Amino acid sequence: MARKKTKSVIPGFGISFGVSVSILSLIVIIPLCSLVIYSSQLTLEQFFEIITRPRVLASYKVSLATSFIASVINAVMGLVMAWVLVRYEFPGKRILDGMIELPFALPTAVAGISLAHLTVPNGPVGAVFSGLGIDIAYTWVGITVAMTFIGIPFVVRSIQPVLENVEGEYEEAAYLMGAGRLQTFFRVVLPEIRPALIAGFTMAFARCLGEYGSVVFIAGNKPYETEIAPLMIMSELQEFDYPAATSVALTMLLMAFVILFVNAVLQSRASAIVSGIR
Amino acid sequence: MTQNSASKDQKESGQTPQGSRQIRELDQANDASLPGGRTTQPEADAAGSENTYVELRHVSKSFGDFKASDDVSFTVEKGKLAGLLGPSGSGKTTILRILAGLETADSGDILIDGKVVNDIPASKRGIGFVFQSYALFRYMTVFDNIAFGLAIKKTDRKIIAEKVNHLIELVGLAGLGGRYPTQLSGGQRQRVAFARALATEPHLLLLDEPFAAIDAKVRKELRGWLKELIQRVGITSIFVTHDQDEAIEVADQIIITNRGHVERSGSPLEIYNNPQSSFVTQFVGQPTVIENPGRFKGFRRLGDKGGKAVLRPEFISVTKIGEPLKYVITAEDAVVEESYFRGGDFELRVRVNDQLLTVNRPITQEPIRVGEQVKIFISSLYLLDGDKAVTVMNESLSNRSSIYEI
Repeated sequence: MARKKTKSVIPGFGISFGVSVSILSLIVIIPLCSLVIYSSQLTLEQFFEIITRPRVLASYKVSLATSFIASVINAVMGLVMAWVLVRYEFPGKRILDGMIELPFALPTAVAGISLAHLTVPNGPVGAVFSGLGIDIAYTWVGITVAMTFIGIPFVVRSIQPVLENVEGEYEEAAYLMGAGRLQTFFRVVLPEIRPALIAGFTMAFARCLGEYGSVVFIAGNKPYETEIAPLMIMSELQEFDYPAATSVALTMLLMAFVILFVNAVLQSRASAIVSGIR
Repeated sequence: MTQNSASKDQKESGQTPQGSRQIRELDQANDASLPGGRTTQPEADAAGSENTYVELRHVSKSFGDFKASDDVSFTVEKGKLAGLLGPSGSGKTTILRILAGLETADSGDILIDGKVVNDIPASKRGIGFVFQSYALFRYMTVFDNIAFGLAIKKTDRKIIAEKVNHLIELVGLAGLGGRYPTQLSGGQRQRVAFARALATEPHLLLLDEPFAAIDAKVRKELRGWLKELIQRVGITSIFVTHDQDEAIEVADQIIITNRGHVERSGSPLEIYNNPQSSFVTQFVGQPTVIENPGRFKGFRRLGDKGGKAVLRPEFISVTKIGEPLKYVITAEDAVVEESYFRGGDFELRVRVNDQLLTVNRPITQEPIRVGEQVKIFISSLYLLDGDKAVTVMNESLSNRSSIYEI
């Protein structure tokens, strides 16, 4: 009765799965668990008291709002940039393509300091805008600028490969059937790149929420106004209140998890259509 | 077809370029003394001039230094299925795209139904286009894909549903309207692409390598299906292919392209039997190019001065030693070197005068083994002369007095 197990073409599922889980545990799960353990020194009441302090709540609001705005800007601008990089040939294309990744490579503090320097009211860019009555540095605008800077590669790099696969023939087919530019974009091209766009948006959003280095220099860090959530964690740490710091961190972890989970759900539907499994 | 009516027709249309616009009768092809026409120019089907639906006049298109289309002219009759046949890079897809309006010609006129459509946008030309990759919208169901063109035109939903369901049935995909393209097989996808191209009720259907992406077995079946369906719908169609079997089997008219220009246009039989140009001769059929054809018996009059000729398997018959032979004097001794079973026949490679030739022998005849001495008889060949090709018959056949019957 015992049937011989058919062997997989790629050998060593056991080993490779073990390696995957070990690496994931070492670099992701164990550090995250320590958050839970630290927080668990508190009672549930204490925990909620810490994460709902008015100053902390204000920081969530700042973080979520600016991250969201920055990610929307990134989604739109990233789509345009990816489109330009995929569909057109122009001198300096390779250089521009390489520059997309600069925000990944640059130390975030460097980015923050230079952005702050540029956008203070007497800085080169800030002077222009303060003339128009807009203050960038030390306001939500400044935070959004820094976050946009940080998030842009996520959107461009997730859309680019997908857009490369959307053949020109798609657009031509739509065009031959009488669709105008807008109709072609919204009915044919957008559905193709929507999963990648959503992925890029959510990754940028999650990244912006957690961004610390570049934002603190430009934010001004006024309590209740321009304090971001990661800064709250930092300040709790500076007061050696580890449980409080981890409680806030845990809350942020939850937010990031929800965002990425929503993304995963949307992606799985899209990939089901494309791969033909339903 | 007479020379007379061809030249009259030329005067009438005023623009047709050919000075040598003879459609030669098949029996004329057997006359080696007939000078070959100017084969680099297209031969429009003069008989169809009143019924012409599509016409290209001196269309040229360059991409940088590359001449994708070089003075292309041809006509296609209403209701016919024409095949643009040529090796890859010969400019056949460019011609199709210019016709569709996806590319603009640098010069020349494109006429559809007697109207110059050069400046008419693609979507207003009344064209259905089937892309090589089908370009089906992956995130739309089969139904929505087919309905796309109608939905864009803001057609009433009920009418859309009616038309689309009819088309789905027509192409034999009933019940699959709710599927996504990725859930279909290659053949089914092609049917969807076909239905989508027909949805807007075009008068001209253009198909770019319609069978290229389908595996060999289904391809054969789909060819017949497509031909039948196009006839049933009664739509003028032009398809691009690099596969001559496909073109010969499916098309009513074949237009052969080479290096951006039209080499030849005509019915499959005409082109096959009377290729006329050197290129077409070496492209259609199963050609073997031989050097110095004068060294073969029956072709001595070609002299010993070299030259090139093309032989096809059907020009050669093979007989075993001892089998009755009609033209003994012009038969050659040969040795069978290879033998392949091809279903109905054996394909034999025989060596004659140091030249390897391909010849078919039906399986109903007595088998010939590899290494066997045989007699072969070459009934005719195409002698290549510059860019022309002329038929040369074996002396035994062309010169009645030299027939020795046994």
